[in-house]
Amino acid sequence: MSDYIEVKKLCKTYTVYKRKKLRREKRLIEAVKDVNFNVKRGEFLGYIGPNGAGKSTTIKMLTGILTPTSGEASVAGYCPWKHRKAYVRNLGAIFGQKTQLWWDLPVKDSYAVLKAMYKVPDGKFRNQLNYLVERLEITEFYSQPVRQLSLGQRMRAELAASLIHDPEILFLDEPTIGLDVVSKHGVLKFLRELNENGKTIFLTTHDLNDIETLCKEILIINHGKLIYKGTLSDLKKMAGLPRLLKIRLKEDSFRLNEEQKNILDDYSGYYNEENREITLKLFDSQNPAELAKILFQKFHIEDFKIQEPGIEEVVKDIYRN
Amino acid sequence: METFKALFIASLKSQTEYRFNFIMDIILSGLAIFSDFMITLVILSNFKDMAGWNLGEIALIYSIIEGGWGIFRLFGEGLHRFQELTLSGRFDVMLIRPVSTVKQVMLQKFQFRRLGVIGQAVGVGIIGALYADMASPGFFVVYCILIVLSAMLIFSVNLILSAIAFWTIRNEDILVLASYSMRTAAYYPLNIYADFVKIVLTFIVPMATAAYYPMSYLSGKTDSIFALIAPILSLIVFMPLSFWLWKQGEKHYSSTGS
Amino acid sequence: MKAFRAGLAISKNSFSRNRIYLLNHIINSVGSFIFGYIAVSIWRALLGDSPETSAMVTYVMVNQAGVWITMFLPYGAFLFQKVNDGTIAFDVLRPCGLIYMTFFEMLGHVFYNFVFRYIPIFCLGFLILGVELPALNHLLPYILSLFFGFVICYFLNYFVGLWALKFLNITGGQAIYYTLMNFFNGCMIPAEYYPGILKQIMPLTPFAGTSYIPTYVYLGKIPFLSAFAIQGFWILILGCLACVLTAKVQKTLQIQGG
Ligand SMILES: Nc1ncnc2c1ncn2[C@@H]1O[C@H](COP(=O)(O)OP(=O)(O)OP(=O)(O)O)[C@@H](O)[C@H]1O
Ligand SMILES: [Mg+2]
Repeated sequence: MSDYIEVKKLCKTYTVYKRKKLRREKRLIEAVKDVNFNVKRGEFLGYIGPNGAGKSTTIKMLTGILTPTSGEASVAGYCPWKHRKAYVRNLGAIFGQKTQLWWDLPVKDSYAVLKAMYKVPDGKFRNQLNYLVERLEITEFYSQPVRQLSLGQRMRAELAASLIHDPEILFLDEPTIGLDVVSKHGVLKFLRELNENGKTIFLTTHDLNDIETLCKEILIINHGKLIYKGTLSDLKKMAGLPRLLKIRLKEDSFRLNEEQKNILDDYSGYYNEENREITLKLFDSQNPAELAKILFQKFHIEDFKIQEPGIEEVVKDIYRN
Repeated sequence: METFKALFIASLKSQTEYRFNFIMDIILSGLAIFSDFMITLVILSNFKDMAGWNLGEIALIYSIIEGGWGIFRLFGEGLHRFQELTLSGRFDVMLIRPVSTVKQVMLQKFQFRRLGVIGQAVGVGIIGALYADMASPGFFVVYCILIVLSAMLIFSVNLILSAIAFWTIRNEDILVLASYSMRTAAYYPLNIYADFVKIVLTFIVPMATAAYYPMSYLSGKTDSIFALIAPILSLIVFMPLSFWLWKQGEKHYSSTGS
Repeated sequence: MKAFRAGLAISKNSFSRNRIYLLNHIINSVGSFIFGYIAVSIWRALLGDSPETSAMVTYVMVNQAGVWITMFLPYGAFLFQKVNDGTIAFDVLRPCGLIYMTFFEMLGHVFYNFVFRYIPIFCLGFLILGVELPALNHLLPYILSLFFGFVICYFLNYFVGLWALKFLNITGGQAIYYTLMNFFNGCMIPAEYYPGILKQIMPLTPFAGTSYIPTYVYLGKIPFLSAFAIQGFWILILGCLACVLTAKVQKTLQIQGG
């Protein structure tokens, strides 16, 4: 059986014109270059990459807004840009900065209009709306015109709007922009719940912690090229970044002797004299217990901790290369 | 149709929330447009007629154009401000919905204060018909049909002008050029203009076919039945043309991105 | 001079922001020229071939060019747009007053309009429609009078902007502005064609100070001193009013958007 989303050799080249003195100059921007991937039904996929990497461009093609320069894609059996009308019935999408609500209308009226557009039956609409309004805590601004909403409120209203017709697949381009810690936690939990109920979700965001809490599978794109495809834990393993071991010395012994300095060198560590903190790098091949034993023998230790490399570190490392 | 109803009701509710403001807006925006006609009124108070057209007949021409314009602006505000959608990229959102984009753009907003514009147009029309001694039940039926045709013609002209924004992103100025200036030109009898302008207003931006030609038939200035059905003839050409152009524009838009 | 340095910087900025859209503005200068052409056609139809016609052609075309300086400023001097997108917050934060800021913003805008709209429209009028050049000794007074006209127009637009700040809606204010301007500025018709008592009242209104009076200075049909007296009087009155109203409105300012 074929996968839910299949992308083959997808390319998008933008043509831009630059005004020069005499004549304008044509320039091609290869926003997406030969991207291939598959996504299974019910998956929660994280799509990350630095600014200008081509994420939004990919999403636009997968939602049928943009026709690619070359390549193929199929989502739920449809080619998004060829069968747009039929395809979009089952699709929900959020584009971080662009509102899909009616600026002058109260939130609830926007939903009524969307209901009519997607021809959602009354009963189903009522259930879905109750569910969304409650889960996304929309009640407090339910009757306010959209233009008066705060950024965070609008984002939640948008999310509900993209789910009114209960689509099977969701494309979210930076849906957590402008949310405070609490609303964000709420939205993330909600997204996970949707996914557990069988929705396929395709998420881009710059907040890697969001990705870490939600997505098992991730794609990384840079300069239009897909550079990683797989699970998050594999990525971490592959990156092979060291764990960091941090110890703080007791006040009486903050000067290092020769022997101690050698140990530091062995583990490519460094010493911060001001707060008496030593940082050592611990690679997978090395045994932490062994090292700990040495350290406790040779140093007067006040505090001791091991830090796993965070996803931030891993991704920073990848973006740089 | 469902969508239309839902948005119509929602717009009406939100715009009538402050009833006083709503009514003031209707009256004042009607008045603003009416001031254009007042100028004509003042001018004609000094003269008997304008190129053989008396005040009543000119009032009727004005009324048919302005009535159509008012109806178009009531339902087509979104089309009129189409560049806001292309500029902000919000047009993207319309491509992911299962309703035709023309409809969605039209459905951006209903502008109920345009009722004032329609109201003053019809007022001017009725008084004009009485003044020109043309008022009869039969005439008013034709008059109503002409206003509707005029609205449709203005719609298709504007659809063409809006489609330009698919290529240029901005279209406000073309819109002002072609839509406003041609509309204003069409307020007055066509025979005051140079031949070149007559051709433009008849065949290129065919606003004169909405009111001037049928009025010359109805006021007995010509016997050609073609003058009466001129709006229908130009609709037959321009309506399909405008939708075709829009389709092309949409294709172009989705191959270049916003 | 020092007091104006910031102002000139604001003006320059507003001028160069416009430069980006030069092509668009060329298009709507053509539109504006068409409006002038319509007015000219009307007067030609009414007056036939007489010396009066030629003076009237000059009158309406000079007005039409001037409209970009003394009538069509950005709605509510940009204040409405700023209220809507919330950027008014930045303006209120600035160390110079709101009047100062908007005045120089408009000045830059209008200077741009002078170069890229007034002059092309005037030239088209001169080349195509036979607009007469001003007598040399009228030129300087005319330019001064046009500038005063701009100041009056600025204040009127500023009031519309304050209306928008207060009511978060510009329709009513703009409609009142447009109606009064349209009817009283004499763009299409000079005072002597107004009926009855309006003949005497019209030249004394601030609205006439924006179009009718400058253009009459151009044609040398009004003593310069009385022209400047009327304009100066209104600038004084409107200026004081602007200060009072600004203080009032700023207290109740609401800022939308998020
Ligand atoms: N309509 C367009 N015309 C021309 N170039 C474009 C267009 N849209 C995007 N680009 C270019 O394509 C590249 C990819 O853009 P895209 O918006 O897909 O990046 P992104 O990964 O979403 O970045 P971000 O994280 O900043 O949102 C960029 O170099 C951008 O400048
Ligand atoms: Mg993006």
